[in-house]
This record gives sequence, structure tokens and C-alpha cells, in this order.
Amino acid sequence: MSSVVPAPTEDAARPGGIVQVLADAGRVLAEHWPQLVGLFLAGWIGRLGFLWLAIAVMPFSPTLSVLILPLAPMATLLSLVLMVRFTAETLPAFASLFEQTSTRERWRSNLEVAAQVLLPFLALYAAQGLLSADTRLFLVESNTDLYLTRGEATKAAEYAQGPFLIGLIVLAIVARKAIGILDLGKKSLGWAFAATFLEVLWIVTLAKALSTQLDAVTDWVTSRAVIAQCLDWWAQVQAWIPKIPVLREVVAAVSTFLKHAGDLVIVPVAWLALGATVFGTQLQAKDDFGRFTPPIKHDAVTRRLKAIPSPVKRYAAQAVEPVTTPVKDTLAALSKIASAGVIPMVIFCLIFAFVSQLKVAVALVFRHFFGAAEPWLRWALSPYSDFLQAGLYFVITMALLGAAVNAVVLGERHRAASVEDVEASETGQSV
Amino acid sequence: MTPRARWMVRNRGWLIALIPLLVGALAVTGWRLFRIYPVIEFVAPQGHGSQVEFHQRVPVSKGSPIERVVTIGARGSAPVDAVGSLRPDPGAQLHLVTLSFAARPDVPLVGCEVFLVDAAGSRYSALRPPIGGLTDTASTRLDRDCVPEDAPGPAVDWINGGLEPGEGVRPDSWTTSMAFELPQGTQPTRVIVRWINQAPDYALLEIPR
Repeated sequence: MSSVVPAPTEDAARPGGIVQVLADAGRVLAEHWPQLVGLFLAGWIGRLGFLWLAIAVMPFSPTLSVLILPLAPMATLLSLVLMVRFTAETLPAFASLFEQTSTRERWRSNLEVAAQVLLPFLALYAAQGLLSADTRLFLVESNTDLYLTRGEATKAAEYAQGPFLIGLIVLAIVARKAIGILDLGKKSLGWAFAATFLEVLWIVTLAKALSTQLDAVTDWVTSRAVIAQCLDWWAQVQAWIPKIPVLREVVAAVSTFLKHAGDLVIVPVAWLALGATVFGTQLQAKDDFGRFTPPIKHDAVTRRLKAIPSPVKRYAAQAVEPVTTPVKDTLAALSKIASAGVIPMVIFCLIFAFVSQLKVAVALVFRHFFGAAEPWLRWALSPYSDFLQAGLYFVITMALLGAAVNAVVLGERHRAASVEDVEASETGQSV
Repeated sequence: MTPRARWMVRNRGWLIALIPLLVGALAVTGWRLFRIYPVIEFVAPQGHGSQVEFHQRVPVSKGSPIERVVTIGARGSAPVDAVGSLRPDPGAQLHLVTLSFAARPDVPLVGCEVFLVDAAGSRYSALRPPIGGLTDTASTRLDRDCVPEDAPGPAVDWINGGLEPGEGVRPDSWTTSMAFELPQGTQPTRVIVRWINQAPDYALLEIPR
């Protein structure tokens, strides 16, 4: 494989490499825009198509409606993964992935990779608030549709009641656990998609239902006299914190940093880490001694979770595991910044933030043309604004992502080659 | 293979697919526009000239839809200096519009709203009564409803379906006048009569000169 990869340039890992990243992203767009736009459109059709289907069947079967709902975010996820994957052909670090393969083999390989990374992508999708946006869209639209066209309230909450709901939750917990332990997600495309389907279903509906059931138990526990007294003391402490100026400032500063760190640093780096997994390569993190450490993988976390003695802790951890893994991956990814050079990564994060502002620009253009329209017409047309915003954002972001992962991987290979050279020369000297 | 030829080989199928994909994406994005908007917005005018027999089926949460059949006529519009003690704002002109209605007493007509439309398409709503009401406008209605005040007839019962009976027995036909405030020099050309939140049908009448 290394024979077909061009010799990595110093630029890729240096501050000036960001220009290379932008140039690569431009090249990817020029070479692949019909594919990127086509995949985005297919994902968008899937997302809204399944969403509307879920709304359309709701009056007849709220359960079927909730089972259709997870297919909407899955369509988006699949299209995003395939978009990143399609950029590989033009990028020097990954060009060899597709050499000498037929279109059919490429599609098969693309779908296999997509199936494997859907779960971590889902976590990032959820972390960016996109999953809750889908759920909100479903609830708002179904409510609007039923109320305005039939004069009825939404039935979204009626998908399961009492024993049926508890049965559904237990079934989902068992199925998720079975898929995790038996590693079924890696066995076939069908299982991988089933695992993702179950995960989305879990996050958008069942986890909420479970937490509602837990809330009832929590309410009972917290209403006991001793515990209620402790909670009162804690509430008093919390009420006092804002009254102490220094503490208030610290709390405000930390929360502001965390809020912006998510958008500015964690999300782009997490995209980058996932982008790398789409190409079948893992970004490397350095440990405390500056050595490269293998990244934490999904199955590794599952193994670690199995080692935790307390069953309750284990079940709880596994219930949120697909979400927490990428968070841990993200923390590890922050240390990977060093491997690509801090300045290019910071600039990359800024570019990422800038590209997301393109959505605001599209919204402003839309407002210019339709801002003065009748309120209902503007409301009816607003999904078209969302459509243009998402299209522009995802097509550019995925091209940029491919180019950035390319730069990081080339930089890592270059560094690894340098280390090997140094080690070889040291070994030669000692001998 | 030249780069251009390679580009075409890679993208040809996708370029062809873009057209149906774009059509599909625009279609699914138009859920609100194609499914909800035509039901909730007044997009279906009825009427030619200054009189119309207006037909509407009003869906209610329970039971079958309610039929509304009413003949509406625009008798005319005239600029006036004042309506009771109400005088126009600087640069504005008050207009009085007279409408005629004819319907069976059991047709629900409570909750109508009336607008004037000028030649440019701008729409003006009827004046609302000031807080406390005007005491000297007995001849002119300012509450924007179209039915006789003492005998409004039935109203739609949105919660239980069917009709809520009103006070008195409404006559088979009546006329009502409404006041509007338009920019000075603006001539109203058409009048809109519709029932609040009962889209998409509305009556659109020419104002006779």
C-alpha cells in the first residue's frame, strides 16, 4: 500500500498544511460534487420521507410510526458516511483503497464500512443535537399535521402503554446487550443496520420512557424524609453559589468554555476521528510519555465494561455506552491534535465553525426573498431553507473532512517513517 | 484516460440521477407546503362580480363536517369623514363598506372577518372597536362580525361538534356596514369575507362603482 502513496510532504503536518487541506477540499468538491450532492439528496429524501411516513401512519398505528422513525436519522447517517467515503478516491492517503476494484465491489466495501461506523456516527449526530432535532421535527410536525388537518392532538406518546411499553424496553435492553456481547454488529451488514436501528429507537423513544419510569422511582426515594432533608441542604448550597461573586464568575466561565468548546473543538475533532474510521484508519493519540497509543474501540469498551463487578453499574454503563464511547474517543482525539500539529488543527476547527456559519448566510438569503411573505407561507417554505442550509453545510463539510483526515494521516505516516529511520540508525550505531 | 474523461466516467451516472433526486428532495421538503398550507391558509377564493353563493364544508373534531351556504353581496364602498366620533388619522381616509347576506337561519355565520383589497393587492382589516366601545355608532358595526347583533344565529361547536344555538331567530337576509381606514387616495376594489380559522375557502367580491 505504501508503494502507491505519494511521499508525504512536510506541508501536510505543518501550519502551512492548512492551505493544502483547503486546496484538497476544493479538489474533492470539483471532482466529486455530483456524487456528494446526489448522496446528500438521497439522504435527505430518506430522512424526510421516513419522517412523513411515520407521521402519516400515526393516526392508524402509533407503534408502527415510532418503529419507522429511527429510519429517518439512519438515512442521514448513511448518506454522510458514504459522502466521506466517496472523497477517498481523490485523496493521496486513501487512493489505494479503490484501485483495481469494480463499481460493485466499491459499493459493497462502502456499505460494509458504513454499517460499521454508523453507531459511532450516531453518537456524534446525537451529540450535535441533530438527533433531538429530528425527534422534535417529528413531534412538532405530527402535532401540526393532526391538529390542523384533522383537529386532533398528536398520538406520538401513545405508541406503547403499561406492560407493552415495559416489554418493549426489556426487549430492547436484551437485544442491545446480545448484539454488543456477541459482536453481531460486525458479523453482517444486516446485523449492523439492525444494531443501529435499535440504538436510534432506544435513544429517541425507549430511553426516554425508561427515564420516565425511573423518575417515578426517584420521586418516591427523594420524597423520604432523610433524603429530602439532604436534598434541601444541597439546594441551599446551590442557591448560595451564585451569591459568592468569585464562585459565580468561575461557574459562568467554566460553563461558557464547555459550551463553546463543544462547537469549536470537540465536534470538529470528533468529526475528524470518525472521518478517519470511515477510511479504515484510526488517528493515533500519544500517551503521557509521547508514545502513540491505539485508540479506544467500541469492543474494547465492551470488554472493559464486562470487567466492572457491579452488575447495575455495568448495565447502566452499557445502556449509554455507544454514546459515551465517542465522548471518550473525543477526549482521546484532543490529544491527537498534537500528532497533526496544534496550529493546523486549531485552524481546522475554526474553518469547521466558519462553514457551519454558512447555514446562517443561507437563512439570511432566504429571509431576503421570503421574509415579507405571509406568515403561513413563510412557515410552509421554511423547510426549503433548512434543505439548502443542510445541503451546503454537509457537502462542504464532508469534502473538508476528507481533506483534513488525508492531511493528518499523511502527517502521521511521515512522522512514523521518521521515527523508524531514527530507530534504525540508532540500532545500527549500537550494533 | 484524460482527467476529464475520468471525471465523466465517475460522475455520469450521478449527474443523471441528480434530476430525479432533486425532484424527490423538493417534493419531500414540501410536506408543509403541499399538505398543510393549502388546508390552513385561505387559498381558495369563490365569487365573480359583486355577489356570490358561498359554499363551504367546515370540519369539526367530532361528527360530520358542517355545511355553510350563504349568499354574500358587496353593495358599495364610500369614503366618509367620520364614523361616530372616530376620525381618520393624518394621511388616512375612512371608508364604509356595505355588505348584504342571505342564508337559512340554521347556517352558522358567527366569527366572520372582512378585509378590503386595493388595486395593488394590499389588504386592510376592518376597524376594531376602541376599548370601552363607541357609544354613538349605532348605525355602524365595529365588531367586525357580519351577523345581526341581536340575532346572530348558531355558531360552530368546535369541542363537541355540531352547532351551538344562538339568541333569537336570525332573519333570512340582512345588510351590515363596516368601517375601514385606508391611506388617503387609495381606492378599494375588492372585499374579502371569510370565517376565522376556517380555511381554505373565502369569498372575494368586486366592489361596484
